[in-house]
Amino acid sequence: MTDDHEIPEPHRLSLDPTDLDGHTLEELMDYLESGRQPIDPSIEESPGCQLALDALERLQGLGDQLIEADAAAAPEVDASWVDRILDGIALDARAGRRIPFESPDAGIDLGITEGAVRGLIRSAENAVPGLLVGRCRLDGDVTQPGAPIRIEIDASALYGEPILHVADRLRSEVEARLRAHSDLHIDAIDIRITDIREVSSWTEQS
Amino acid sequence: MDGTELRSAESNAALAVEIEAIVQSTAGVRNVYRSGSLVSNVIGAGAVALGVRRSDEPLVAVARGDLGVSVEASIGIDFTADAGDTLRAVHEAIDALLAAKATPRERITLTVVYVQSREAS
Repeated sequence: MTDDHEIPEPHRLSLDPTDLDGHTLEELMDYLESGRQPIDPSIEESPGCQLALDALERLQGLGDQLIEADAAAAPEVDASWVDRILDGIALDARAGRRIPFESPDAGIDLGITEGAVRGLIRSAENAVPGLLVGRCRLDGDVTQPGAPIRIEIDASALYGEPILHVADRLRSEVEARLRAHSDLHIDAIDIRITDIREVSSWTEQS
Repeated sequence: MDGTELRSAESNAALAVEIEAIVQSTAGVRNVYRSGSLVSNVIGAGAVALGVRRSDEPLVAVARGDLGVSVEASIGIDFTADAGDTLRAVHEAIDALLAAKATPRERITLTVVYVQSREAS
C-alpha cells in the first residue's frame, strides 16, 4: 500500500490532496521572497503550506549557495533536479493518511498525519550537507498500529560525497526523527540517490 | 435553525474557545489549526447562522452527542516536543477542563498536522 491509496472518510483531513489549500508552490515562493509579509492567514493557517514553506526555505538557502558555487565552478547546475525537488515538496505536503498512536482509552483517538511525518523525513536533509530530499513515501498500512512500514526516499546529493556515507547519515537522522514523533514500526529505510549535482566547490563554502 | 439549536451552537462555540485556549497553552504546542471536517460541518453552520465570520470561528471543533461532548483538534508542535507525549498532555488537559465543568466526554480526536523542524525551532 502506498500513500496514494484512497483514505477512509473519517481519516481524511482538511487538505485537498491535489493542492496546498488552494495555493500553488509559485505563490508560496513569492510569499517567502516577500519575507512572509503581509501575513497571509490562508497560508499561515495551513499545515500543508507550512510544510511546503519549510522545505522551500531550505531549498532557497541551499540555492543561494549553489548559485554562488556555480559562478565559481565550471559546470552548470542542472535545473531538472530542482524541478524534481519542487514536485516532491508539493506532493509530500499533502495531509495523506492519519497515523494513529496506540491509546488504551477507546474514547481517545490520537494521531499524526502522513504529511507531518513526511515533513519530518524531509527536514532530515538538514543533517547532511548538500543533500536534498526529492520525494518520500511510506509503504505499508500506516493506519494500523504496529504494521511494518518501509520508508522510501529519493534524494539528490553533491558530486564527490561518498553515497553510502550520505545515505547512512540520512537514514540514521530519519530514524531518530521518526522514533521521536511516531509509533511507526519501521522495517527499512530505502534511500535512492537519483541526482548527483556537480558543484564541486559547494562543500568548501557551506 | 431554531432557538434551541442556536443556543446549542453558541454553547458549543463557547466551549470550543475555552478548549482552544487550553490546547494552545499546552507545552509543546505551537499552533492550533482548523479541523476541517467537524469545524465546517458542525461549528461552521452554527457560526454562519449567528453571523460570525469564518475567521472568527473556533479552530477546535466541539459537538454534543447522547454520551457527551466530542472534541476534535489539529495541532502543530515543536520539534523538541515528543508528538505522542504532547498529544496525551493535550487530551489530559481537555479531560480536566470537561471534568471541571461536569461535562461528560464522549470522544477526543487529536491530530498532529505539523512538526516545526528542529532547525526552525
